[in-house]
Amino acid sequence: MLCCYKIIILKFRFTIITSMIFDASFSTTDELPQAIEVCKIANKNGLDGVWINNLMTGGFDPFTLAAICFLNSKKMSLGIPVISPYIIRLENIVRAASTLAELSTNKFFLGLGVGGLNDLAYSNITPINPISTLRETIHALKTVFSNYKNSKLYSSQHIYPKYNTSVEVPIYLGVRGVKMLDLAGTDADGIILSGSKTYIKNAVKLVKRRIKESNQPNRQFAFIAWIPTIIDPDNNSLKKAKSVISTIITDTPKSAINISDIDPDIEKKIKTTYREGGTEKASELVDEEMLNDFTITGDLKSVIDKYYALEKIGITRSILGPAPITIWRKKLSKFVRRWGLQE
Amino acid sequence: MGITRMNLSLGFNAGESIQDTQKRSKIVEELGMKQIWISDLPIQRYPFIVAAAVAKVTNKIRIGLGVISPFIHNPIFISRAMAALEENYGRRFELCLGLGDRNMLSSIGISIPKHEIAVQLIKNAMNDIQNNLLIRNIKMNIWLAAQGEKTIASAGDYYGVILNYGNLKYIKWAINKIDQSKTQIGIAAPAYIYDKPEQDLLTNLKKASLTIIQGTSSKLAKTLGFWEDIKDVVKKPRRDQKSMISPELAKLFAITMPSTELPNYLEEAEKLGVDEVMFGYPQGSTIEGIRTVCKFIK
Repeated sequence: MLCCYKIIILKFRFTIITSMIFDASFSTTDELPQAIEVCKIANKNGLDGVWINNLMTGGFDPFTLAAICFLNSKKMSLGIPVISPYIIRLENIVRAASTLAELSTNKFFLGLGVGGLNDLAYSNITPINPISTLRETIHALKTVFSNYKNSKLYSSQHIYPKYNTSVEVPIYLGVRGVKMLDLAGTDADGIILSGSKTYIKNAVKLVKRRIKESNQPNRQFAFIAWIPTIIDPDNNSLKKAKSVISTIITDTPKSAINISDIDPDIEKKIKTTYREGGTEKASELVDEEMLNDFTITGDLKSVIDKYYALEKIGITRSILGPAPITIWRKKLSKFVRRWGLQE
Repeated sequence: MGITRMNLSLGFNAGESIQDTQKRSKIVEELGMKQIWISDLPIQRYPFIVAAAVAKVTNKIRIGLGVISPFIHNPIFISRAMAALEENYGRRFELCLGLGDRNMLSSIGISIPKHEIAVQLIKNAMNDIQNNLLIRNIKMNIWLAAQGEKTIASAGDYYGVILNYGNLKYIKWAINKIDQSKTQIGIAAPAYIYDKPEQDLLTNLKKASLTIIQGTSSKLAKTLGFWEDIKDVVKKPRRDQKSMISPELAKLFAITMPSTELPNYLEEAEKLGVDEVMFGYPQGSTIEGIRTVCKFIK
């Protein structure tokens, strides 16, 4: 583990884990040797774990991939953002998450969300009542994870999981809209945030307010940032970052745009271009200022400083990526050492 | 005591702990069995994860997954899960597709279409899975789980058909409807082969047989002539059915006998044209049960 947990009991009686933890990431479309390599690098460099970016458009089943990673390295934690109940049946989410928790002795994190536009379009799904669907999904999962014989998931009294599903699986929301942030603050165990730094700062504030209002003493909550991170960027990595930014903006609802500092005209242009010309065309509209606001790039010192600023606003965990971590493995060990010094 | 042609395999229940399943898989491999199967029901662990855990602790044993229902798992995810397993642990996985237990599917809100349509949807799923795997240069044996006439009729489209009953009278009826030159024939049924029967395992065998009974259509039961035997059971509420399964009734669906009688059973099955016999739950749930069956491997 990169750094120790420090628990601070705040005056409004909920607990926030502070002192940022770092994880690596890869995607379901990466080749298996690369995915396993990322796990090894994460392990070797003292990161806490890895996250698997689940893309519907191709690649491997995220749960099976997670199992393969756990079986290669039992020490690390592993999370999957975002699993959408619109795409994967609820009982399969329950079974996969509880089996992964068993396999890893409770080192699995489940990220829930509606799903990205690309993923939903690929599956030909239009989400109906997303807030209540996610709320019901969280409650159903928590019920099964805490008392496996008493779940509304299964309609018959005599049908229920025939194995022990009493596991600890933190449920985080990978969402962006303001109402979704509210939901995370009242119902989830944490939130996975991606977007501009201004958006992240405002989202953290909003969620903290909801946590306070929800009045649930001793509740632990994780604020997780997933921001493209590039140390000593080259043209290729910047191009990839621009593509990620255009996807994030396209997936961001109006309410989230309103609490960020994205120029509404550029936002509109990017969304239209994305729909008509795809990621590549849309990423051409991402300028230097946006690149700076949506990513953590620069030399080692400036990257460290930017993460330090994130920690100050309340981010407790950061996922490094999606730039391929295998490319900057040497830089990673330097980053980890410097971060340790920073503390 | 050896068997000349047929493959023998054991079925593992994905409701059992991963650690215990890994332990038993290692023993099965050490005893020379070439294949195990991992079950899938909506009330059990996620089977692809269990398969990965088994593959991790074994070296060459073939691992079948099934019955996997495309009504529970999207064929895209089935192929992506199988691809991950094959690419990481080598070419040693098989898949058996089937409808699944209608009652259980209905309890989780899945309504199954009419039989002809369901059979066609399973075939479409098989084609999708095969095509998705071929993109990664993976050629996989995909079996069809079948009981009734309409499902059996599509057996020729698959690598093989696995008949979900152990009684050789019913097997004979089914095999007569299959073009054996096109497809492999397997039997998969609840099983308990014993030297000395244990009460717990007999009870588990009855429970497993009940699952088969509950999933059998009345039409098939009438065709095969066992409707009279099961009608009183299936008409009762589900919670009362368990106590009504007699050892004789279990025998209609399961492979159960003293181990001394197994060679005759296998010889008869082989004569009928069976290529593979899978001893289902609870045979593989104990080390003793595993050893009893593994004695009959060539």
